[in-house]
Amino acid sequence: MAINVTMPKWGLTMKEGKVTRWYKSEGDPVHKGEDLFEVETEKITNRAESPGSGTLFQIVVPVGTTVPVGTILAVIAEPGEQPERVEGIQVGEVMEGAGASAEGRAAAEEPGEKKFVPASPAARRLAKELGIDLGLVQGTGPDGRITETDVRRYHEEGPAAPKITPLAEEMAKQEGLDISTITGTGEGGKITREDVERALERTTSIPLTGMRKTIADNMYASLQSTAQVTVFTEVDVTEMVRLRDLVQEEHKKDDTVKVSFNDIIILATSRALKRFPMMNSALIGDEILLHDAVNIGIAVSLREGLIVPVLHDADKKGLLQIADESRELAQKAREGTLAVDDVTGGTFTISNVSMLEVDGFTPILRSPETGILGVGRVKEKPVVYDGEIAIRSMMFLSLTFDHRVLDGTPAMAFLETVARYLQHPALMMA
Amino acid sequence: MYDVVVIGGGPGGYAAAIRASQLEGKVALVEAAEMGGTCVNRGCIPTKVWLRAAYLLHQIRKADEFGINASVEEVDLKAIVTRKNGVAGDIRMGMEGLLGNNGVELIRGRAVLKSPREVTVEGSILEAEKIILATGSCLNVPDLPGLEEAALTTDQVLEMTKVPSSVLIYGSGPIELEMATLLKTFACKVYLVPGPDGLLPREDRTPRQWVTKGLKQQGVELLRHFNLESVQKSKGQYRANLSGPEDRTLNVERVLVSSRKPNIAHMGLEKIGVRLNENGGIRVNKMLETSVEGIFAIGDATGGWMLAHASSSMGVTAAENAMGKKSNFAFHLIPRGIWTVPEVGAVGITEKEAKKKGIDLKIGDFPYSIDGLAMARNEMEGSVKIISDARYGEILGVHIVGACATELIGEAVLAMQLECTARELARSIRAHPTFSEAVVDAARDASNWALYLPKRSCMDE
Repeated sequence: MAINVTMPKWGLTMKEGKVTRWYKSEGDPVHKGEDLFEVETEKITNRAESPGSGTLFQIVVPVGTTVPVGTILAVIAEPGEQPERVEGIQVGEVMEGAGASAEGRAAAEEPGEKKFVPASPAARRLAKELGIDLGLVQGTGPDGRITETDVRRYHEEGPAAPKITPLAEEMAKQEGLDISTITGTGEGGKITREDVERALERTTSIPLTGMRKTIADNMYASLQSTAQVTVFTEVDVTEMVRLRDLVQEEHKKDDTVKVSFNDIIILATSRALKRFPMMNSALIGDEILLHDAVNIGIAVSLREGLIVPVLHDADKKGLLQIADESRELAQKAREGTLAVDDVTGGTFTISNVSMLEVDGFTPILRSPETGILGVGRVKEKPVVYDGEIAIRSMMFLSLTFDHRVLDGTPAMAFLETVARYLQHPALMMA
Repeated sequence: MYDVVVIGGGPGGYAAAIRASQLEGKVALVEAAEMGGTCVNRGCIPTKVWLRAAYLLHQIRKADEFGINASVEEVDLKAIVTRKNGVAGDIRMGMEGLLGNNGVELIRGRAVLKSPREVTVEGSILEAEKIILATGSCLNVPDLPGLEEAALTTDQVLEMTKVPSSVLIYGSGPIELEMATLLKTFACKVYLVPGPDGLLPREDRTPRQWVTKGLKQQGVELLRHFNLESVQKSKGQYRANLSGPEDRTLNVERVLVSSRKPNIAHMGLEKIGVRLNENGGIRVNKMLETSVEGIFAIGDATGGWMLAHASSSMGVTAAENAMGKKSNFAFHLIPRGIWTVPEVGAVGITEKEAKKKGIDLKIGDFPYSIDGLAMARNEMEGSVKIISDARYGEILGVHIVGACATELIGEAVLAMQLECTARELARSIRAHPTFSEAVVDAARDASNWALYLPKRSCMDE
């Protein structure tokens, strides 16, 4: 017998869905459990599996059409079978949770087997007409039997609110707990005080204060007030590594000299910024302010949160001075002895996550700065070098810039320049 | 092999047996004496027959307030005893009939636990998947010199055909106070020595004050700062030696004692490892399981409040758990009913307990004196007190004192069980005029909008 494929119902609130893709064409063989089509709802896009095997006889609802839950989308025919063609929008049995990976709520509901739901014949007929799954309707008849009125009410008012005691409701309200996330264990699944308490225990509340609050406000404000774009590039930094080793070797007798990759990156960035003044700017009001000074903020992660001490006039300083000052700033940050001058006046920021064994990320601008450079770890990889496969030290750079201030091309040119300086540190001299 | 063997045929065992049977268990109930236990034969029911007689007598005496001048020619105590026996007998018969109707096998005899799965009754062995201990409690005469000999038990009061001329009541619980009211109404001189903790020590301050006032009005002589030290026989009477602000002796006909202890002796509990709690009762968890798997205990045998309805509701939980369900017993929802004049009905915690827990409270208080029905009936002694949590409006305790308090407390139990907040209760409608209006008014007071009380700001201390 032919199988009607219908718009599935994922989650309590899903009422309709848009078919965004058919993985099969009419006439294709289909197998039960195979991906058949894709549905977009208000919340998610999900793949739906074929409910049976046979031939995809007819696609009733084409891509791009939004239809209510339960609408017949396609017909699958058994071999040799010639079912009647479905015309227009028709309602079939609702497929529940048939998706390849239904969303959270749907997954929590009982999938698979349909349980028998006591309902009057009139209620069944109406439910079928309206495409309503009787399992979701609350019955008010004897022993919870679903009446026609119940189906109509469900159709008009949507799913009933979860049953909850007044006390539990008050507690959830005051604690800001969404009652739809609470499992009720009382009579008939009613949510009780104990259930709310259990739900509250699961989440620990930490007041948003101090440094965390500042970071939260700044990060949010940055994303709200700018147009951030992030671009990436992978850089061969073998020469940068060699430079670091060379400098260390040169000064191996001097304990005060310690140079890190980050110091070289600060050097390279500060030099590149002099060539791309738009990257060293701030958009304030109706004006883009180009800074003469190149003051590089260096993100330092502390247990309490992130702090960004500023290395002033980096463009005027040599590698050893940069190394010395950045180490001192990091030290002060850890000791909590940074002065106001040490954390203000930044014109561009570098955030280095290489110590976290992470390759790349999309940094968030330190408003009102125009750019921030994200630095990933240095990793030896087999790469094509000079026409051959060689093991080279590779590193990802990511640059977030404010698209209001400049466009992609100059920003990428800046990133490429930084990359070239790191690839061939000698170019910084030129 | 039985699914459940219940030991004890009081209100707890009876409920447990029927519930287990309803859940399709094969059930036996073992009773050593009469069905009904203390409640039906020597407790709740018989005292209510007597207290009804006392109430009627009291009403007749004060009927002149309503223009009815009547005199009582005779009080036939034998008739009261006969009525009491009749009621108890009817209830026993009903219980036995209903057990049979539910297919519960009633086995007469004394039960001893042989193992966690075997009960011996008069030589024969009953095998049981689960055992529910519902053995109740028995009289516990305090260990004071001469007291045992002088003791008048409640059993004896309930069988009395002659009222003693004077009785000293030693103790301060609900039974002692009900006995004080009863004896006093039948013209016995009553001295009440409550002991160091005062009257109704587990109840809230408000009902305690009302009950104290009520006892004094009835003419019970309250010896609050005294304690009973010893009793001596003297000239056909007893001389009670009291310690207190000054030493004092009282000559009385008898000394009434009614404190009780869990009935747990000679049952083989120790041998199979059933542990006891600090009250000397059988230790149970929230599911009413004892320390031995498969054995449950309910009611007076577990200590605690020792109330018939606590026992019967525990019986339901224990039976359901014995039959494979997993539900907790709501210990905090056990109401207390005390048939003093005025009556007390209470559930939940007292104001003192709530404050000790550091809860921010909203307390609603509504006096009977401005309740319409109380005024019409001239029953204005009493009040409703609702203790709620200020944050959520959770009802933590309700303490009703006055006419119908023991009935009204059911409202509070229901509200608390369904987790109704004080704010919600405040919006509930009651028929007028009833005492139940006072409950809603107290809830309104707890929600800061008592309609029929002077403005809060004027009342705040």
